[in-house]
Amino acid sequence: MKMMRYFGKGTLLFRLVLLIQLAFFATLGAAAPLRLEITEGVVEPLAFAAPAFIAENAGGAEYASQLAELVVQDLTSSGLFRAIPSRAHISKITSFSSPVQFSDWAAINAQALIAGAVTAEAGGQITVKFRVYDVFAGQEMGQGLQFTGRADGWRRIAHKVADVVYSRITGETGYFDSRVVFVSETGRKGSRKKRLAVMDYDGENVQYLTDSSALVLAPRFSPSGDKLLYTSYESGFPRIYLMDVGSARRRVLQNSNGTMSFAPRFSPDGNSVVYSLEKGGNTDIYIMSLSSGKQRRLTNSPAIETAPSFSPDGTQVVFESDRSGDPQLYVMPARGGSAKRVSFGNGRYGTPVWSPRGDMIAFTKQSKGRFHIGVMRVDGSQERLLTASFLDEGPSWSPNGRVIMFARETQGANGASSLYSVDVSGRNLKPVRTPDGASDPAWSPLGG
Amino acid sequence: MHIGNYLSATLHIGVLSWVLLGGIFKPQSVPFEVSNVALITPQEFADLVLSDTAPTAAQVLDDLDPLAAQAEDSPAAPDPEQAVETMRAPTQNESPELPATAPKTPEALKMPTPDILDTSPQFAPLVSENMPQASQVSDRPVLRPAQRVALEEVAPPPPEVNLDDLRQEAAIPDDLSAPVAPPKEEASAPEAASREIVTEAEEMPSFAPQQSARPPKRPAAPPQPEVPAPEPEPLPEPEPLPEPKPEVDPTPEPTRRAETEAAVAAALADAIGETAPTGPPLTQTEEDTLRVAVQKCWVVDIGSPAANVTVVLGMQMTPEGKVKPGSLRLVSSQGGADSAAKTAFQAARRAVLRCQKGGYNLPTEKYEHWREIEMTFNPEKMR
Repeated sequence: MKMMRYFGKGTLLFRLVLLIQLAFFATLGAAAPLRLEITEGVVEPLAFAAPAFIAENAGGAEYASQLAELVVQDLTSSGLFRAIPSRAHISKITSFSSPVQFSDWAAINAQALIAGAVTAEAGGQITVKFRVYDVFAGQEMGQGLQFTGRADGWRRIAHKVADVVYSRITGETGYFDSRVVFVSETGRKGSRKKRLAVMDYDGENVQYLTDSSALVLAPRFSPSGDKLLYTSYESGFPRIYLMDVGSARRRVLQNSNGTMSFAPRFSPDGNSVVYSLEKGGNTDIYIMSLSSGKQRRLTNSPAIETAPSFSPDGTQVVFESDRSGDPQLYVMPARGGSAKRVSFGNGRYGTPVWSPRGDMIAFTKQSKGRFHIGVMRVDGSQERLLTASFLDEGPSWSPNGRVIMFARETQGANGASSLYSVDVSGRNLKPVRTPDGASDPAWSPLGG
Repeated sequence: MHIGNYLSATLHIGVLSWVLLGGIFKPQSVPFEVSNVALITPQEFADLVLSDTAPTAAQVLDDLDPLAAQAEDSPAAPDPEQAVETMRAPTQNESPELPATAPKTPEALKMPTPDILDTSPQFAPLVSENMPQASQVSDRPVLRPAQRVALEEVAPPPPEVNLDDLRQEAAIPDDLSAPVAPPKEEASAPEAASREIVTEAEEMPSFAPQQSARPPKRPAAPPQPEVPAPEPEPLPEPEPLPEPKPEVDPTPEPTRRAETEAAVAAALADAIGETAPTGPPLTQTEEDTLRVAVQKCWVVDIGSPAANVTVVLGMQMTPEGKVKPGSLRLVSSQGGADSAAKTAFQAARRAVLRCQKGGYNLPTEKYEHWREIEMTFNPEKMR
């Protein structure tokens, strides 16, 4: 009876117990969020708008449109972006500092907006400033930025703007302000004249570095972009040369009699060169210090071992060897030692190049009468072939490890070699414009 | 700290405040009866015990049923007949439209609208003397006899076709020596969205079915031949509506408890800022609708390091199915560097915001279930 008196309905204790119960269950029953998992998206270019830059003075008007056009061209050439034509724009950017009407840009489905302005300065210079906006989030991506440079170098300024936009949206560094060295080819097949040339990544500003008196092969940029390694038959035998890009002066690196040296590449720090040396009928891989000229043998095998390429951290070297019968890819420590085979697919593998990101190796593969450019993980897994043709070879990574440029030769007596590029995903395969035939491309570092 | 700790602290503070400030501990005057005590002799006590002092049934009812007592004092109850008239069900001849001022019928008093015709259907008798027995009748309908003679004259057929004597020259093959222009190569990847990338090295996918199509479902059993229904039974008389109970003022104990519970629950909901969802959750179809709407705007850059990152986005929704401004946040990420996670988050955020347009198609009545959403964007299958 006493208990009933304390816990009976309406008593104080009853109300307290009831309250605590309700609080407990209310806590348990608090609304949990609806949880969904999205596992399928779409692979398509991101739509963006880049209206003509605002000319902030009369001198800037000359560059306002072409700056925006080149930024658009750079971004769309990557295959990751799609420009919305200016005739579809609802809103106009009339002032660089005026607020953006995001709803107008969202209405035309622009996911990103680039607003820029250009001012002509004294002394033949221009200043370009720009902002990148995430339209649907209604906010700026990063902060505004400006570049100042010579007016006749406006293309490079535009490439730099495109690199920043690319970086802000994708999270990766860009590759538009970069150059490509390659072997320019003229003449008929069998009697072609070859010379070294360098150009912007998009084929503009071609400059020739050598004449066509001697056969040249496989040029490679130094990590700083100011030097070149290449192989020349100037002496009648293949020799490795080191060239200063600015002055075009060169010197031979390896000049031992009765030997052939070829396929050179810089180490990531730029202080050493790894290359192939044929001596007494056997080809092995060597490394040479650029400061002292000392060289050291890294492989010691009766097989042909060539095409070495450093990993970005400089600890490993991937190379091609036919020690198992067919040419395959192997990885060994940078100091030499036991090598581990990483390619096991059907066919012949060659010209491996370690990605600047360090996670992949690009290669040339010959299989069933066709050539492919492919990529694989550094342990040989997840091999993917990106191209297929009569002859594809010589892959070179863009400085951000996103695009691969290579040489493609067409079939027949009139077959010609030209440069192509492809995204590492296999999309966006397209030719690279060069004035003549071209082969052996090598990408410079960013800003090189 | 876990949200439960916040809730616990909030509730404890609320309880203590209520206890301290709400006057709950005011000493309540417990009613007690006062009786005069008199000393009696043992004989008188025995007489008292043996006597029948239990109250009568009428007395007990009068004492324990306050409603009845109150009813006597309350004003006259409304006429039950009148109440029933107000809430009566529509008859079959009445228009189904209710007057605009019609009082809202309580759920328990709603009468189903009779689904009947104005006139009773006339049915043929089950068996007629002139008709054959059911077992002799074929299920197939009998063709009507056609007219044997056409009403109009039929035109004669056209004459047979004769072969012409014309000769055709043999086809001359084109000059094979002429150079054939090589097919123009694609300058760039097509812009159309796709769910996978087929490289040049990969073969074109075959569109032929890989396996035979699943056999169609067996058709449903044919409906049974209709048997003339018997005469429809007269509509059942609507059950008499229960007489409304006279309103009484003193609230009975259960009602008071329910009110207390409701008040506490409302206070808790206010304190927590959300209410526990009630009713059925979203169906799989409703969730799939939202999932498909978002994923068609989720642009995955397969070659990017962000394609290795799984991000979880949290967002609050408005009842219109749109994301509350400023509520979109990164809950967690897994599988990549911070820069890649940031890029993956931005791509997922664009997907959610770009495809919401006027609001996602979500059932409004289940708003409590989707007022807060966590979406996981996992590109693993896209790689």
